[in-house]
Formats: sequence, C-alpha cells, structure tokens
Amino acid sequence: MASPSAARKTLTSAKVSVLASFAAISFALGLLFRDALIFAGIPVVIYLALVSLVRAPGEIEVTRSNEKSQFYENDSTKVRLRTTNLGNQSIALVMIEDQLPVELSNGSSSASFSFSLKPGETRDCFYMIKAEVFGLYVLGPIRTRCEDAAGLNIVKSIIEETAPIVVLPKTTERLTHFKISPRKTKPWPGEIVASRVGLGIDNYSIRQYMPGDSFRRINWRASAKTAGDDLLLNEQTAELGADTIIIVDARPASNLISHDGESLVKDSLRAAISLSDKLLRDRNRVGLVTIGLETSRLPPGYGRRQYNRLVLSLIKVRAGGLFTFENIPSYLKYFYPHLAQVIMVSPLLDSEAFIASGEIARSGYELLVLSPNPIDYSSERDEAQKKKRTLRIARELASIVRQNNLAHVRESGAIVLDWRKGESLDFMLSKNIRANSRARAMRRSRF
Amino acid sequence: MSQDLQRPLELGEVLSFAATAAVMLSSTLFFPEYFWLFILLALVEGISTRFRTERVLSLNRIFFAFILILLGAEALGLDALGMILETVVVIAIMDLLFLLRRTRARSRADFISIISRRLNSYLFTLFPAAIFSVGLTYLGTVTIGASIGPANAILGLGLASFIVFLIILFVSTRPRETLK
Repeated sequence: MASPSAARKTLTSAKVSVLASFAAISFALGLLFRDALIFAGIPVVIYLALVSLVRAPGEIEVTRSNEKSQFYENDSTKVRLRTTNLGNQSIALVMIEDQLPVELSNGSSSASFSFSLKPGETRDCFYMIKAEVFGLYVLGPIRTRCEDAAGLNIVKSIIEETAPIVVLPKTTERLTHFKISPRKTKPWPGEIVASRVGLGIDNYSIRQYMPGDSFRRINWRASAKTAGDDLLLNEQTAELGADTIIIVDARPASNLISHDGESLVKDSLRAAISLSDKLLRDRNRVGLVTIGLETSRLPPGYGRRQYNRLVLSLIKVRAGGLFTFENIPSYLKYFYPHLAQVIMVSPLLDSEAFIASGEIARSGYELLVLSPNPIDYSSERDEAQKKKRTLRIARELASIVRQNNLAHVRESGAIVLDWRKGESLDFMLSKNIRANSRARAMRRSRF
Repeated sequence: MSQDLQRPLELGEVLSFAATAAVMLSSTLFFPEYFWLFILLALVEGISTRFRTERVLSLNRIFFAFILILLGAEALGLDALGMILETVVVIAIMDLLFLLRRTRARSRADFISIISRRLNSYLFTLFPAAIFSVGLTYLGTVTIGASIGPANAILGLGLASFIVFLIILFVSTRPRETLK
C-alpha cells in the first residue's frame, strides 16, 4: 500500500502552559503573603525542566483496509487500521481516530483507539461500520496523536487516506409484472411485443412457405385445408427492445420526510433502481437523468455493467442543488430524439415539474410519470392530530388539487401513476399500466 | 454536537469521572469546612462529562487542583516540605485523571500498558523533581539562608525558579511544524 500523505505537527501539550502558570501564580501569591505557597512552584519548574529533556515521539504509519467496500444498507462491515511504529524508540501513547461519516457511525462504538507501541511494532485495530441509509460514503482522513511517556511532547498528524464505501439499498422491490409497451422500438431482441413480424412467441400471421424456411414453423393444419399443395407457415410477432430514460426528481422542493423518518427522495431512488433493474432485464437500454445535489446524466446502455453504473449514480443522489426541470425537455430533444420511453419519478409538487412533464409528453415521447404521493409524507405525528378537523380538510383540499393537476398532465398524453406510500410498486405499476393500455387501445379503435 | 451527545460515554471517560469525583469527595476529609465546594466541583465534573464539554471539565479540574494547594497552604498550614510533596501528588493525580479521560484502550492489556508507562515516567520526572526541590529548599533555607537570611534566600530561590520557568516556557512552546 502506498504511504499516505500526512501533515505532521510537533507541539507541546497545554499541560506545560497550565503548570507554568500555576508555578508563576503560586510564586507570586507566596511572595505576597510570605507563606509556604512559594515552595509549590519549585517542583513544577524542575518537573518541566526534566520533561523538556524527553525526546518527542517518532513517526508512525497508519493504513486502512476494509473487509467490504460495497455492502447493503443495515449490514455492517469490519475495518482494520494497521499502525506501525517506524521510529527506533517506543511511543508511550498512540491515539488514532478514523473520521466516519455520520451515516456510518452506528452510535455504539467509535473508531478511536489508544495503545503503546514498541520500536518497529505493528498493531491492528478493528472497528465495525453499519450503514442505516444507502449512499456513497468516504472513510477518513485518519487523525493520529503520539505522546511521549510524560505526555508533554505531542506529535499530531492527519493522514489523508480515504476509502470510498458504497452502501447499496437493500429492499428495492424486484418488479415482475411491470412491462412497458412503447410505439417506437429498436431492432435488437427484447420483451416488447412489436406490431411487426419477427422472432417471438405470439402468432402474427400465416404466409406461404418459401424455400429456406424452417419446417418447424409450418402450420400443417392450415396447409391441409388449402386447395393446392401449398404449405403455409406461421409468422410470429417481433419482441424487441427499446431506449428508455429514467428521470429522478431530487430537488429540495421534493424532499419531504414523513413523521416516521422516511424520505420521499429515498423512496423515489429505490423505485428508480427497481425500474432500471426490470427494464435492463427486459433487454432495453436504460439511461438516467437525476436532478439533485449530485446531478448525473447517464446515456442509455445495456446489461449488468449499466445497472451497476445506474445504481452507483442513484445512491450518490442527495436532495438539494440548484438544477431545475426547465431544461430537461430540451435536453431530451437534443440528445435523445428517438427515445421510446421516458419514466419520470417525481412527486410533482410544483408547477415547474408539471410544466416539464407536460412538455416532455407533448414532444412526442411516451411518458410514464411515477409520482409518490406527497400528502402521505406530511408531518402528522399521531392519530389525534390526524383526526383534527382542520388537518383533515387541508389534506382533502391538497388531494383534490393534486388529482386535478395529475389529470392535466394525463391530458397531455402521459401515463401518470399516483403511488401511495406503503403500496407495492410492482402491483401499482402493473395494475395502472394495464388499465391505461386498455383505455388507449379503446381510444385508438374509436378513431 | 447532538451526534456526539448520543454516543455513549467511553470507559475511560467514566473511569476518569469516577476517580475525579472520588478524589474531590475525599478531599472533604482534609477540609471539612469546604465540603460544599468539593461537592459542587464534583457536580460540575459529572455534568461536563455527560455533555462532553471539554473546556469546562478542564477548567473545573485545574481550579480544583489549585484550590487544593491553596487550602493546603492556608487551611492546613503546610510547611515547605509539605507544600512540595502536596504539589507533586496533585500533579500526578491530575495527570493520571486527564490521561484516563483521553484513553480509548480496547483491551485491558493496552490500558495497563498506557497507565504503567505513565507511572514509570514519574520515576524520571516527578520523583526527581520532588527530591531536587526538597534539596534546593534545604540548601536555600539552611545553608545559604544562614549567611543572607532565610527570607532573602527564599526570595532568591523563587526568582531563580521563575527565570528557569520562563526559559523552559520559551523553549518548549515553540511549535515545530514539518510537512512530509
């Protein structure tokens, strides 16, 4: 392991100043009152003189290694701090402290240790970190303090060795029934049933057998019914993939925390991870746009590696930042004009979000808005407060306004799903998308 | 601050508080008329330990040590030898108590090693300081005092100590910074 850079500072303890002040005061008071207090300063001065002869402690090296650099939330992992005394004299007191982010310090233990070190001795110290919330964290830097035997000569250093820790969300729901059915598809195989001939399972049409066609696809029953000797062949509908993009709203306006401590943004991120997992399993290309403190834009891509990239980007997102929704429709139009599906995860709390979602839908994209219901994240504390008449009326009014706004977005052609807190994401998505597809099919047949 | 308060107290902090409170309360045996002061200091010690207010805790302990030496001279009327011994004992106790507070030893062996090294250090720091002080005082009051008078000898000794102290303070408090 490379030797980490360290800012090293040698200084004397505050004890010197205190003892020196004591000696001066006792001498002055003894002199003033002409009593035995004058003698109290003498041993102090001699003690300081003797201690100044003690050499300052030598150099140490501290390295960190983690059992796991990636683990799931509510899991824990072990971290090792290896300290070596590089000098040729023993160090009476070595204190090391690893700086932990608040989210990783589990409260019951700290990452600080004290011990003595002989010349050349190496000591391993272990501590556990537990992550309550998913995210990308950094361990370090390491602060060290070495003292001589008398505790007056101190060497302090800050070792700039940091280690990233990735905490993945544990309970992202695995979607099984959710399927997208965009009009635009791409030529690679996928799970979207397209309205054209290709390799799939569902029958599309029957045509005449041509030399070179597989015998296994001949429809013998239909061929027997024909007047001539012509053989007929089954043709299947194509199952194709598509380009999709997920937009996650983590603006400060959308960061609501419920009374039980659940964050709307965190739930949105969990939903986005579930959605990207399902879309990638269905062999679609998935991209990501996040609007928050750690804004990132990932172009659509395939496979497990893309999933890891998406998850890493999503767990980095923190609510906040100054980015707005205004530019998102133009961004999509400019960079991804042929996207099949846009999925927006947003509570749709402000007019900016409504305008942006309407604009995306009107630009010709198939938009699915997954909107966690912000009213469920209101800060009501208990049942008594819940029953309060004013609060009940306020909730009902807010609900009416929200339904009205959602209806406006739906009019622009988007599928808008009102996701209630605690409701299964898979069930809600599949139920609503089926209903929306039926309604859309009916509208199409009417015209 | 709130995060720091939520964290439970370390063993070293608890031991340091218990030992300090014991020393403070046992001081009432020597100075019974000032028992209220020591109880008050022990209370401040407890509160500052709980709320981790390092500055208050340090000032409280320094004040206690100073009061102890002051009362030793005034209330008990200790002589020169008594004052030197009391000062040495108070420095040793306070030093150990501060060390206990900062110690984050995770095993008994580490804890014993840290404490025993500090106690060993007293053999070449505090113990010789006490011996030299007694010797110097004897020299000043008996040998030199016979020729120039005991009062002048004490004054001369004190001034000499103060000058030595200033030199040590100047030499030792210069920070020596190196950046690797």
